[in-house]
Amino acid sequence: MRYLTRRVLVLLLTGWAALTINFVLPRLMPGNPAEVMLARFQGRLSPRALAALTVEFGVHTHQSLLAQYVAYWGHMLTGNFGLSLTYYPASVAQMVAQAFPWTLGLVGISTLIAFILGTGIGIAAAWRHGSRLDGVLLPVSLLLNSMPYFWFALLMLYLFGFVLGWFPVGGGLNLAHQAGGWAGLGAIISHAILPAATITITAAGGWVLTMRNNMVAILGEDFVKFARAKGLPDRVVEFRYAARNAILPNFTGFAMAIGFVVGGALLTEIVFSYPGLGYLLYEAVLNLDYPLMQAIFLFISLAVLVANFLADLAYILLDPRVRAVGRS
Amino acid sequence: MNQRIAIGLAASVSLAFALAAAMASNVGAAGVKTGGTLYSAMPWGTIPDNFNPFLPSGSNAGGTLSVIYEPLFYDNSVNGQLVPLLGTGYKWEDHNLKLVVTTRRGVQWTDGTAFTAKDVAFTFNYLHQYPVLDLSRIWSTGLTSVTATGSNTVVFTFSKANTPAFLYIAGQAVVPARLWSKVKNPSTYTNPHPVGTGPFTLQSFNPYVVKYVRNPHYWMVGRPYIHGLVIEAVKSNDTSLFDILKHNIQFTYTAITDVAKTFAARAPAVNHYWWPVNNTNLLYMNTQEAPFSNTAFRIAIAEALNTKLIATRAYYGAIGPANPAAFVPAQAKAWFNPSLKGLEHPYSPALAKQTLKKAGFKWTSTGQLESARGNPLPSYRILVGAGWTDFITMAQVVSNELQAIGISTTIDQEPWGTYESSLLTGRYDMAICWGAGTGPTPYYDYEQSLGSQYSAKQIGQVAVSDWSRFTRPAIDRALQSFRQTSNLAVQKRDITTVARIILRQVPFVPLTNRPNFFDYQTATFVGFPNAQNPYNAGDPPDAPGANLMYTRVHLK
Repeated sequence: MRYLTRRVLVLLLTGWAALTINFVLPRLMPGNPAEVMLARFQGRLSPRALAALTVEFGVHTHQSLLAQYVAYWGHMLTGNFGLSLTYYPASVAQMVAQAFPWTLGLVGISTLIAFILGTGIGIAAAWRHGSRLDGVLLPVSLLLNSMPYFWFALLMLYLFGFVLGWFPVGGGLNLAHQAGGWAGLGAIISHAILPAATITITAAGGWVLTMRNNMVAILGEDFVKFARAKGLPDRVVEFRYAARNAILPNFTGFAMAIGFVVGGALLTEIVFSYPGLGYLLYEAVLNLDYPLMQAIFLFISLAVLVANFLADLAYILLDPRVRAVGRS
Repeated sequence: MNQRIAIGLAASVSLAFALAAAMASNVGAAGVKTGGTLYSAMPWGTIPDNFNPFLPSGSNAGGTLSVIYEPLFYDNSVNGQLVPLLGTGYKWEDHNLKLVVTTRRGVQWTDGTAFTAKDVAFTFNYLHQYPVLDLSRIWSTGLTSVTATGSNTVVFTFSKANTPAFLYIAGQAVVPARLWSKVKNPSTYTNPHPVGTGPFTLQSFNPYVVKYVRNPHYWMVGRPYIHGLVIEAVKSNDTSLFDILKHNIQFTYTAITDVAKTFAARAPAVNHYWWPVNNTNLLYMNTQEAPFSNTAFRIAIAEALNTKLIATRAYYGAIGPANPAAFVPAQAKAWFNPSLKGLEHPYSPALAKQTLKKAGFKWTSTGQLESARGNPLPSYRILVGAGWTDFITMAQVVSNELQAIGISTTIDQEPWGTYESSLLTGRYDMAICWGAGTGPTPYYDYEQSLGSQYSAKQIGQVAVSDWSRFTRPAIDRALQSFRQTSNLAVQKRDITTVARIILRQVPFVPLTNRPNFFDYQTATFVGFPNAQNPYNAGDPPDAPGANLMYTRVHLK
């Protein structure tokens, strides 16, 4: 129980810190949103109109920082994120709600596949370490992991989208042809395959490497040797003894990755013109769109924190030592 | 009355009659094939869920201002022609203090009610009531009242003559009075069910694709030929290039790199690009800041820059260098006074060094420029938009050429928001940007970029469009004289006066011509604008001029 209370306290404390940083950071950027709004209207706004607009946006640059901070907390707690400056007069909530399902679908699923695939391959490689399979997998994963994503994605798009024509070259144009239903779903899937594949392939390499290395280390431990000496079947030693222990650091990494899913995959979205939160965040930063930026950062911070909290809870199940600490 | 516009109007009115005649024959005969859906992809990122025509383009969904709402007239910035849309004619009366516009009869809003002159008067008075909507600052031109004096006549009254203001009036999208008079907060109203007079109506919207369907009651009988229009928002130029190369789309407005090779040559029979010039890319210098406040220093910069090389590097030969006084090529014939030729600054680094020497500048032993007092000049920033490859390339060449005369510079790439606000507030040394105004005569750019009413007294204050923050009473006088007269000879003299000051004092250095980047393919549809038939200016799909394309394009 003490373990749990401590986790909850850490969650609250880091949550407060993250939200405060989220408040401070955008205000350290050069320029101010009123000027950017002026730029959007190409300077044609009269000072009176500009003043009216800034009030409408809730950008009170003349307000004291403390007053802004208090108002900020009020808004965050009530979920009132205000109007987006970039997509004015659409509300921030509306913009985020539009992009979120696409990101969750694409990045969420491909992150999960990459984790399962990468960890599985890592286990197999470590169990047979020194074998030819391991000898091939290691450099391939290193290569995939260190490849510049933008370049790789463009190459895939050019090859499979443009030259071979197996997949659409991007966006939702074909979605527009479809009325919906099964045909619409098919179009959504055919648009997602290529971007999902690039994310999965480049991300899986990292999971393979960490899982393999952790597992190789665990395989050298005495308790594994003891398990083998006891004559336990290979599968039990491989999964219940070695993999179960080796997966712990990977699991923390996975929790972080799930958190970052919410941030979207900017490069993927740009290369494949895929809808999502990454581009929204990018636009928000370019346009000094504080309200939109803060809402997305808030979701990212919360997702990372909650995912970590859940990972901590999962540790209780995975790692008996945590349970032991909790009882003492 | 402005003679040149009058000629253009007469020509386009007769053109409209000719078109009507041609159309009548097409409907019966086996001429034009109707039907089909036209596709486009634009690097817009996402499409705002907003069909409010009073917001600047980009804040409303692409198409709002080109297919749903229509202005009174379309001014073709490439050939200076005026095309009547909701207006059919106009005349200036009472010493250019009264503008009488005749509106089209027989036009219907898409909700079935009739369009009248009252809607036009309402629209302009609405701008007066809500100044935030008046993006063209129509009510700052001296306009005092707008009234509908009949079912198809609107009278605009001015306190002082301002004939060029006609263009801003002509281009304002007109809305139905019946619906908009009920809107409480027009600047935040998203107008989810737009009712306009245009050739299409909204069919469906999502943030990535907007679809329009033919308006069967459009006032041009039998038009448009096509049944649908789909515009997709993509997130990079590469996607629109791939899409048009695969013929998924028929047209796009994209500055394709090395367009002749990467696009046109891939399918020479059907892939075409038309990049008509209607503006100029300029190197702005902050004349409120030393040493750019020094005229000799600015002249030396003009002499040090090889604009031919800059244009070749930036546009691979598709676009040429700029006229040194920023005349658009199509307008140079009518407006460029040959006496200006002698004032131009030819490319010559040697001459540039001489100019600097005469002004008292010196060089250090390593070749760096230093002031007369022997202080080496710091490195100056050249402001460009982050990722805008054409501007970045220009800045690189400029930087190299300035280094050759001892001026060191760094290229400062800023995201759009900070780029634009630095430009407006004068927090920059040098910047590459387009000309502030576009129109059928050089007046529009000169007025926007050098008129003192668009400038600011101090760094930090907003200069609406005089980004070099350069003003001269002589320029203001010439612009004022241009506004108040209809005499073409006087207007030409005024333009020459401003051009002469530009050449002598160099508030900015014109670098290259600036075109519209219109790319299209004719595998299934024909009738796109091009150099042979420039019925519009190659406008982007969301600009009013694209309207003319949507009513002309048809199946092959």
